[in-house]
Amino acid sequence: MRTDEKIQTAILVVLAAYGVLVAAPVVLGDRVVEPFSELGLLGPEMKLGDYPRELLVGEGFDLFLYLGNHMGELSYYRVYAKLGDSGLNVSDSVPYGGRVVEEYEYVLVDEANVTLPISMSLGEAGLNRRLVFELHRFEGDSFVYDGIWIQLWLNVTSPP
Amino acid sequence: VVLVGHSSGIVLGQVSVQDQIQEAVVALAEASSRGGDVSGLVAELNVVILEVDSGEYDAVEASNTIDGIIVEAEYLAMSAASENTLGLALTGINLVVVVALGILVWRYFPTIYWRIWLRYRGHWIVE
Repeated sequence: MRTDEKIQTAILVVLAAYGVLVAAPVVLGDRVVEPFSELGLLGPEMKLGDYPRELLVGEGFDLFLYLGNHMGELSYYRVYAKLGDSGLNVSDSVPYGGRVVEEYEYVLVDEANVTLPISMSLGEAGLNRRLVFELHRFEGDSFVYDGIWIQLWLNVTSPP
Repeated sequence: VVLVGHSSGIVLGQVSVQDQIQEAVVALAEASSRGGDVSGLVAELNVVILEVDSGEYDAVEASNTIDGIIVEAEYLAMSAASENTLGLALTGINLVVVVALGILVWRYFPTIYWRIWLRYRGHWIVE
């Protein structure tokens, strides 16, 4: 290859690379390959652990709710805290059938997260009570179950 | 104003404010999808949402705040759309210039190269 051809090829390669860099964001956009949301529950010390296990009816307890948005768009979340027992099922597709005792809402822009302090108390006694936190996301004109849930097992006793 | 049950008790004006929050979310999502920076407005809306969740809020004040957020989000969406159009136009111009440069280099570079070469080395003598 002659010298002029070598230089010509190098210039054309640089121009092509620049063209790809300029056009790529427009063609690909801000496409998210695998969008997902996050739901986490932290103990009263804001750590994974030290969750309450034994409670009295009406006794207050503190937790932290963690939400993360990686959906590639702004998301409006609602977390339901539902109380039930092991007789009721929950899965990635079917929400828990327990009674809603609290609900929390928050809006997150893409790639944002938040840790919210929450205070709760339970008004009914029972052993092996299941406190399920479910993530729902606003889609269209209503909240849709996102398939993400976490749970706490609690023994709630009446005060002496 | 409607009375409805809420997990933390009875809350005044929940339905109307809830509808407004949803309207604000839709407006913010639109502005965000067009490239507008809505983080400040989202933070403002979250304050209202947390107040409503706690049940301790002034329905009129909350409603006014949300109205303001919706208006700003719509304005932001329009500004972002204009910026997007401008950005697209600049990208288009950039690409046209790059392609034109490519064609010019492909077509004329050897000629220019050898003309320059001759100008500076044409007087060289091979011995």
